[in-house]
Amino acid sequence: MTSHTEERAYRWPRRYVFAATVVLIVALLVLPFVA
Amino acid sequence: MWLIYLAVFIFLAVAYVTYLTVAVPAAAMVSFAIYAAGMPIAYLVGLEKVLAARPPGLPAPQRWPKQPPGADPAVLEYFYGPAIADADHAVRVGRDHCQALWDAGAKAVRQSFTGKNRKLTGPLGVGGAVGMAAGTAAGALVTLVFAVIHLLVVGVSALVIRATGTVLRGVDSALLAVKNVRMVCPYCFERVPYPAYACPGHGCTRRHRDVRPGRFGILRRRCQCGAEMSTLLLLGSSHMAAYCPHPGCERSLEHRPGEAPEIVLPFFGATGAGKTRLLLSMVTQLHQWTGQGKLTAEFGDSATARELNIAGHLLRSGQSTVGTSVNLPRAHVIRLILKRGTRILQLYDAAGERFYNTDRTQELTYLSKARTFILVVDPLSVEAFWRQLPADRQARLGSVRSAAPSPDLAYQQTHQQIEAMGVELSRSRLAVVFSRADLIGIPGGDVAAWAGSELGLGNLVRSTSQNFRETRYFRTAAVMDSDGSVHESVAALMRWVLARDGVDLPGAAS
Repeated sequence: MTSHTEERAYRWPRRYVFAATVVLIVALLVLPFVA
Repeated sequence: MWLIYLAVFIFLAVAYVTYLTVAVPAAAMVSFAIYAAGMPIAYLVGLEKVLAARPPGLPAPQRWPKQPPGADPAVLEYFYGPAIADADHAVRVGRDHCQALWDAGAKAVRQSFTGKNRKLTGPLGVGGAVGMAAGTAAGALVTLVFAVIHLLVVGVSALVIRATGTVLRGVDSALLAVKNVRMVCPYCFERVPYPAYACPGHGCTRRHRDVRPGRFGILRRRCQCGAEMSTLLLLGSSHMAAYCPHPGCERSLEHRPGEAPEIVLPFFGATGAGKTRLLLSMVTQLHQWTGQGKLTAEFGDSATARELNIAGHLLRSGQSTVGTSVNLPRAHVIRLILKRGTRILQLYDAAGERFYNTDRTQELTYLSKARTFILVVDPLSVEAFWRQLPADRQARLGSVRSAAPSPDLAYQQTHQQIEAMGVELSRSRLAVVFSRADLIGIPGGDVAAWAGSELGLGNLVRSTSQNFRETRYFRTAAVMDSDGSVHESVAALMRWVLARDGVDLPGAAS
């Protein structure tokens, strides 16, 4: 398990990666209907 | 009667076939939909758990990047390994969720063939199994696309982060080069490419050898204790406690290296030539200019403050300085804050004994970092000059006269070592300082000519002027005048010595 310090250090990078991934997936799903 | 039975049988058969026709495809379609959507959803749930929610029951990642031995005690930058480990972790957590989905499906299919109503549920099981297989294939494909998108985000982010780190590192190095900041350790005399820093965390004693942008952080890094640190001198890392990064030295560099250009100024010459006294008079002169508001000179570290605090008092009292220890010297560090910028002076005052012996001179590797040198010569130590002095003056000056061998020897020895260390003398400057001008008088005229004719040091004068790009000869009196100011000869020497490094000392125009 990662340490508490690592958990704190990676909190925002992880959230950023998750948000960016979800946004791209949603864009990919919506694109056929928009285009 | 049998007609009724036949009709019922036909009816039931038709109904069952109709049921099969509807139920099997319906079960297959529902099952397909569940697995085609369930797998990507399971992956996304896993991703959310690993990257966002981090619930307490989250299984530990099976792979996690390990720090190489000897690495700094800092937390790895997320995109230098942990992000890929997280991707692997998310796939494993998603797979566990999918496994639960498959187990539930398999159980339902099995039950459909073993229950009391298996004639009815069996076809549903067949349809479900077919749909499950097809849905798993479709779901796996969609999940793969999702995973690729995740890896794409990680990859592009890692590329951007690493490129930013490289650029910032380059900009920081370029700015140091433009500002002509080249750092030297005052203890081990090695070039310091970048200072090591102590963690600023309360109670933390960890040291970070290289804080520059890289695997431990781009703009900031986090110590293993949790404290954050700046990664660049540009971003204020010089305000942290600095240390020499060289193994075996690792001494504290209190003078905040990296903030300003450093000027390495070595004094050399025979034992008792007056090097220490000259250094003390220069420090006192700087303090007097500070008092007059013409510049600000402050001791760069506590060791310098301890040793040089008494400079003014010693000079004022006229007391002799204590002989310099033959141990390797450490630089006296003085921060010079001028209108046109700040400079860090590193003044090296080694014992004269070190300049008669090759092995001992070789240890003075700071000589290779200097571009201006100060050779101090005691005119009284020159036998020819001493002999021509009247007996009463000899009696009066005997106690202050250097008993060291000829000043030529210290010069030749040091000059050869400086060259052997790879210093281009054709690009270096030398100040030849004849000390004790207060005792022997300061006649006007050309000092070099005086040294040749009066002291008989023509060879030394020729040699120094040939070897160095620029050589200037001074006569100095490291004493205070009656008004308490340092003799003007010291200021004249300092102005010439520091002029090349862009230091515009007071009185330069006059």
